[in-house]
Amino acid sequence: MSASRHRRWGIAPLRAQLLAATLIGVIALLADGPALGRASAAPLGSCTPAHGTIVAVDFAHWGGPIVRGCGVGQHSGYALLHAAGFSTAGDAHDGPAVVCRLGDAAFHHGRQYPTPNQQACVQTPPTTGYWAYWVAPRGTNHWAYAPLGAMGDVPKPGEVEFWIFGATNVAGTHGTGVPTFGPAALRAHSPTRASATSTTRTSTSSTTTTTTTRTSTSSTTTTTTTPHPPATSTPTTTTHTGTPPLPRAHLRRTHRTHRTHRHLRDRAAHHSRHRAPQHSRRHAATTTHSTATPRAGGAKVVSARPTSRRGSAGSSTPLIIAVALALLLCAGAGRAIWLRRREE
Amino acid sequence: MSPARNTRGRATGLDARRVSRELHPVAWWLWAIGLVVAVDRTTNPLLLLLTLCVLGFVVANRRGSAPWARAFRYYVMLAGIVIVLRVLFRSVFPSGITPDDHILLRLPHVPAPSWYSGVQIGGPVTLEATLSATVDGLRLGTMLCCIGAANALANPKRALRVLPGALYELGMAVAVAVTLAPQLIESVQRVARARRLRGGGGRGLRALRSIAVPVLADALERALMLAAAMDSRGYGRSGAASGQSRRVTGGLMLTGLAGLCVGAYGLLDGTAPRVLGAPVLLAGALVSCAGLAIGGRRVRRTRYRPDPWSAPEWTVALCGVVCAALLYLSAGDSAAEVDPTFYPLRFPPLPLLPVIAILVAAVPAFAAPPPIRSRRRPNAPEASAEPAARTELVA
Repeated sequence: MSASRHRRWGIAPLRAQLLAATLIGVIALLADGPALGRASAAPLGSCTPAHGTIVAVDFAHWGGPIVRGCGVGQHSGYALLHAAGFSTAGDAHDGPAVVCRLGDAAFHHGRQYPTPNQQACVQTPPTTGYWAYWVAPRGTNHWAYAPLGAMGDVPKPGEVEFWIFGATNVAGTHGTGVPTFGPAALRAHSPTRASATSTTRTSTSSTTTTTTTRTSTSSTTTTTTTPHPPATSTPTTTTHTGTPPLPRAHLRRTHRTHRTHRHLRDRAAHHSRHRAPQHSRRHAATTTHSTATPRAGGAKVVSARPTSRRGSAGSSTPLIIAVALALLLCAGAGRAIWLRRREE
Repeated sequence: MSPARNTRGRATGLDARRVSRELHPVAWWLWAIGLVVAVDRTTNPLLLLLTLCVLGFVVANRRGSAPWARAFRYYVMLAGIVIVLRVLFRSVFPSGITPDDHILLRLPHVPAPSWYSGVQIGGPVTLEATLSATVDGLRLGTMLCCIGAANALANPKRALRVLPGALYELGMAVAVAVTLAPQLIESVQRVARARRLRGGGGRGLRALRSIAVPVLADALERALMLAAAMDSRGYGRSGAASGQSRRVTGGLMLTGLAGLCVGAYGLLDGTAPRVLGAPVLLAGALVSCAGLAIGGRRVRRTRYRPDPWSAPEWTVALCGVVCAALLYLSAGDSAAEVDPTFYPLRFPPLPLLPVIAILVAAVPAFAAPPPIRSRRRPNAPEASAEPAARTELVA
């Protein structure tokens, strides 16, 4: 029997795989430069009813406040979150586009929730516990389930985006992931009454809740908060405003359903436009350092603070140890194969 | 040929004093399933890589020389294909490019209308996405390799003995099917050799015909012989079962399987009523078991040389179970280390307890008895041994 007649055993592809893994590790080492610093968050004051988009995250599931931030001119809801100072984490299966964890320095020093013990973030989070994404376009007084994911959504001026952790049914109408209060409690307020002049549409709905916010641009690092409509703000979910329940949107929705949804949303907007808000209040201008705690649906609202990013590339020692162990095992396998060939 | 090679079946090294025998197939399957459960729990590429190496190590040390024992390398190739496909899809349909990503290359971007903005075709390929896709593919590939290792190590014919009595006809059909491929290959090789000896050259359609016809005739002849042999041993008799008992068995099995289907659906679909989930699944399983038990009563089987279940079997099975349990325990404590992400890009950590769990799964490479190995190539036809002997004489 010639040596060539001996079959080669399947260790060769295994070795190749190992080599590829090592290569990837080296690439990772080379490609990962110093972590990029994040642009500082836009101050909450730069958002007005007609300018910039408010984004709020509800940490009530962990006993935390509603953290509110602002972003101007972002191209996606994801960028808006980061511009406002939040940090996000995706899941292993879908990447960062699916927001699986959210954190902000204003709550527990920027720890991301749900924690790895609560949600592994390997597969797409289930409807029984996930960050539900709600939007309220300018001029509407109720939440609509976002028809696109965080990276597909394009924030519009005057819009409010809201992230709340909880469960929803497939239709997105019931569950703990449905906000219990209206977007009016979170909307940006014009610094002066003069800005509430643009169109009839804005004057009837959003700007009626006008209050004065601080105008200081350096105030993002403080937790002192904006004066605000009182806690009595009526909970206005979609059911309250009498609009039909909005279908739950999936990340990749077909164009037909998307259209339907948009139609529903337009109808809902139309509804609220013709229905004067029940709780239009005007507040006198207050000072920047107001100590009053604003509330939305009973929850405390605080300003977002820029969350530092974990920028360390980690240590390469584990990789080296693992490769050494793997090589040891491969050597053991190679020895067994060699012995077998000698035997045959 | 050296004299050393003629000492048949001589074991070397640590195995020198141990008796060669086949391990109980169920032990190998329990070990492999334990590893699958462990792999399912982690997305750490280092742990997955270690698992692959452990599988290769155990298979290299403890596989026999039967045709199925060479299956492992094909599973490794399959795992490679899975990884490549996963990376390819992630590159062509990129999703979630963050500003901090490291872009490797840019594929031509196909613009989609705004109402279809959920799916993007082409665009930047980032290192983060490629690594995530590789790890995701590696996870599935490693699971496939676990199954491949069990297939390479456990004797499928012996595994069929574990089937409940009611399924023995099915098991028999599977046993016949499993032996079909090696027999066909052997048949083809024999006919081709005979053709060469007769000086029949030629290639193409003609050669195919002159090989295919004898092979088919051979297969038919073999099937008839097998049928006669099985007939004479009493296979295929309906036993003492009455028509009614057969109907009861059939009814129970159908109801049970329907229950299993509905239960699985109810369990997986979040919107289904709770009653349709676990309770129906359990009821279906119970009814199926009852059907199998009643059906099995009419079959009386005796076992010829039953496989023993002794200390090595316990050790191998326990290694799998311990591996899965340890990984599950550690996943709760060090979740971030067991499931690291590449956003932001960083080296994966190597948690200690999961590494120990995976190394425990390598113990069967020593704990299992050395496999029975024949000196001859297992798949080679009987006839091919002759020319080798002849050349030896000539030499």
